[in-house]
Amino acid sequence: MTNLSLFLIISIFFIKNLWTAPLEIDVTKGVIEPIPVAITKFNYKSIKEKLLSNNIFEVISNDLNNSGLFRKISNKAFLQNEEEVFFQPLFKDWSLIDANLIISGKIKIDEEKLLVNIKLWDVYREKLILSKKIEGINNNWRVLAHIISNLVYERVTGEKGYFDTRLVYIAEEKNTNNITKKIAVMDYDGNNHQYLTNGKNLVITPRFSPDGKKIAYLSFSKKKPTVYLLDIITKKEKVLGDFSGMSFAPRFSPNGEKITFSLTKKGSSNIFIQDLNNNDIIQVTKNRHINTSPSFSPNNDWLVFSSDRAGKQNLYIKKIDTRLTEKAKRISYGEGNYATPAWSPRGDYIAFTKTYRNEFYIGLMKQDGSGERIISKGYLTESPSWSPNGRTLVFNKITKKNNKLVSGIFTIDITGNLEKKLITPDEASDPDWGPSINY
Amino acid sequence: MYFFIKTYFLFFLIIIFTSCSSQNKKVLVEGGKSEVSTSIEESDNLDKNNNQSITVKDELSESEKINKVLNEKLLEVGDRVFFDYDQSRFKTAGIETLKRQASFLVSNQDITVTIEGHCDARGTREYNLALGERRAYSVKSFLTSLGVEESRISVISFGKEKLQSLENNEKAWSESRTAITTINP
Repeated sequence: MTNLSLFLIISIFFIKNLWTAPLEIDVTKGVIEPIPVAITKFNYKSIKEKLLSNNIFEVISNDLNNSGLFRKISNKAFLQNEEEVFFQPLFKDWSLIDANLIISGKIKIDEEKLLVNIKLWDVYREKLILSKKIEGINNNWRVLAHIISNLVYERVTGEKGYFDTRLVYIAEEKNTNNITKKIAVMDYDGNNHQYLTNGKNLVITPRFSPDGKKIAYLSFSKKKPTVYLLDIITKKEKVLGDFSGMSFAPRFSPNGEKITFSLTKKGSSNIFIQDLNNNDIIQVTKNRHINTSPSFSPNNDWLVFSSDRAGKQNLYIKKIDTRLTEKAKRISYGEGNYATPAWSPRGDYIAFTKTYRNEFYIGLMKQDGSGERIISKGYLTESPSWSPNGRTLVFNKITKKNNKLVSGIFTIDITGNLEKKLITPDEASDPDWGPSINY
Repeated sequence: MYFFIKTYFLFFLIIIFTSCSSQNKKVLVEGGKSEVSTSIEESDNLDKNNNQSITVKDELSESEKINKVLNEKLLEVGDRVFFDYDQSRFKTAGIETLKRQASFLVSNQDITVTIEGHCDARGTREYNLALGERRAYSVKSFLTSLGVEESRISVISFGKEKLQSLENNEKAWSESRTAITTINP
């Protein structure tokens, strides 16, 4: 009986694989070889357009290579004239050089406007599988290029792309005796880097609001460390509230209406939620322990947080509108400490930091605590934050090089196979992934 | 003559300024309080180099002088206690230190203090903020139990943001797991 059901499961799995076209990648499963893709330079008429065509080509190439799911084929290997591809590829020529996909396009500048047509071709099925027209403002070409990458990624993986997103993090300047910390924002690929604070005050744990316009963070500028809200455009900041204890560990709700954080009192840390419209505050936990790092569920109704109420740090979930006396449900039961939980925007996983026997890990579990899986480890890893599509995480990792510690931010997909260090001008920590642009 | 003195004075000022800025880096670890002694040291150096009997000192206000003396006293008494990994109850060696701190605070009724709670680098940032707070509070509770008024003691947590040592070994970590009592200016 067991053998039969096993056989059935295997055959279903097999058949399912047969049904799926070779191009579809399941991002949740162990990763397959990257797909070889030919990216042709987009057709143009004027010199100005040629320049943009080159730039857009670079951005798309970098995006797709970065994702780890694609492997760009060198343009020198192309047999067909790149300009002709947009009209009709000679599929035999492309299969000769092992291209599975071809990206072709055409760009046109019309005064301030930039118009791009893209076509994505499946070489083995000899078919056009995506054709889109994208319109934007001329000097926004970089965003436009990222959106093209998104469209290709979406068509192939079935998941939303994240190439148009930004990150906020803490830039760390190390001197002999101290570290200067500044809030910095940048495109996910490191472009458009900008510091938002000057390093005069110690600042940590910046978090994007879901509309990408504000950042909540902890500042030590006053005698009492306190959560501040910073408007990215006006650079105006305001204190979240006047509390008797230290407020810390802020995180916005996915709908942007609320903010959750910890507040200290007599040595204990408990979790609160403040409504950003009317500043009403509700208390979520009440005990003499440490309750911190709260993170909202995607439907805004639950919190996951870390607490040492049972001796060591574990993860707990609690529905927000229940009574204060209602006990939170513990979801982590493995060995070691569990901290900094982050609920995936898709709701399928909770990412966390685990420390066990002086090693640090980044892991995932379901919201009921089942299916715990480690995806990264290091000398010190912490604070995972989800990409808007819930398929990649960014986190802080300190690596040891010749007994020197270097702090950096890394991305990793949920299979744990594609870990990548992000390039930042200084050392970096506390990354938080910002939202996608709507288009 | 006046011009002469003025030029010399300026000359010294420049020397002091430059040496100050290089000295400052060294001093930072111990905190601003030691700056006073630094400038005295510099004037000694100047004496040797220039063979002149001129000394330059920072002019301290009365309250600054008192504070300086009190700070030195607090250092003598012991300004900090230490903790085991992930613990918020200070090590037993700290009991004697805190008893001395308490009697120091009882006999100097004019001062108020802040207790800074610190953690080592081997923890997550947000939890360490909470742990630092709990450490500082456990020192505060002990001091109040010994008769220091609660209102004279405030607490602040620096989590793992102000490590006592940036090195990466057990010695550095145990130095960083501390609660430091500082006199409010």
